[in-house]
Amino acid sequence: MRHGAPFPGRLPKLLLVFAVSANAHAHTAMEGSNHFTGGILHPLMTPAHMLILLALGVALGQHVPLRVAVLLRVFAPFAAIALALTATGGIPLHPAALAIIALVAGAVVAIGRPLAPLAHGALFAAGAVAIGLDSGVETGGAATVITTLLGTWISLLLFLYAIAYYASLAAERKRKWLDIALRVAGSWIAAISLLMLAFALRK
Amino acid sequence: MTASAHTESGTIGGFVSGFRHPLTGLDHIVAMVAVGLWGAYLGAPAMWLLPVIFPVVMALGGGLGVLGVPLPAVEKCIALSGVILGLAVAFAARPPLWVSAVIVGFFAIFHGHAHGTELPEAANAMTYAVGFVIATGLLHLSGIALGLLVRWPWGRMVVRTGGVAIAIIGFGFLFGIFKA
Repeated sequence: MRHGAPFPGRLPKLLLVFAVSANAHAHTAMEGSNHFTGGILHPLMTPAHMLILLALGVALGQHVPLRVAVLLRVFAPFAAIALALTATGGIPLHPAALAIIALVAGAVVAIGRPLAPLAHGALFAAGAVAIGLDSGVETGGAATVITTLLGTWISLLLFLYAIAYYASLAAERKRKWLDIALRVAGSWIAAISLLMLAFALRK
Repeated sequence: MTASAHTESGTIGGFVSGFRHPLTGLDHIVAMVAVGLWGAYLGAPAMWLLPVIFPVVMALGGGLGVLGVPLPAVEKCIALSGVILGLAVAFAARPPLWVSAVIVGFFAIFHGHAHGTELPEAANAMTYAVGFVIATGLLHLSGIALGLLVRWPWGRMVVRTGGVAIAIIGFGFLFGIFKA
């Protein structure tokens, strides 16, 4: 794989398998599988989370070669810690936090310049913590909570990687219009986040 | 599942409401299209920079409207945006990039403020914002697509005539001939 990524190139297609299997096995008898599927689908069902994943994924993928180290070394552990914290009663997250992180990530994409490694890592850590803390499971026993959170964690990593992978394919083409399209998408994400921030502050 | 169904409805309703909002006022539509037309006339990088700037600054204005921060003469400035941007297209004005960015950004605040103030209370905030920004962006892209006709001599005439029409509509709103 040209990207030097640790995941196989076809891995993003696994998302389709998950999506299909969610329907196919919705009534499976396997204990806990519904919670796992629910966890997998959670980021998809939460537009604010998808917005952050989209912005972070494009921010990661728009500068080739694709470097997934930040995904594995920063996003994955921070998301795991934040998800685990929700099981212990959780830490309250201000609704504006998600909007602010999406705004910053969207602006980074729109500007189109690579961030310094430390700032890059901090952005991904903040995104992971915010999404994680906002993904708590409100009901169910320990097995339900763990299965659901595990599904969410795997899903977050897969979605983020898939978005970054496809963004990097666009960036790899070195076509000006593709680069611009990514930056326009970043500006739209930033605009949506700004409105979200206003809504959050109004409440 | 019943609860989810209600959420779905609210989610979709918010998106539809947000998507429709920029498309319901002629004064807004002509200004958004004019941004794309002018950008196409100016060529790269303005062609892409202006539609990148406009949604972000408009959302900033929208946020001010949502928060209830007052701005003076909002409707007049929206009408004026049609006049100025329309004339810029009609006369094929080519100011420095920063000047066009400031003009577009200035008017974007007023467009956003009007939308933010008129936001329905019941709308799903997240999907409303998504629909609102996508509709605005698509209007810009439509303007750019039309503006790309400038590569042909007859296309330049079409685009500049479009600019004249936009300016006339802007004047119509400015002097109360058309109602916002």
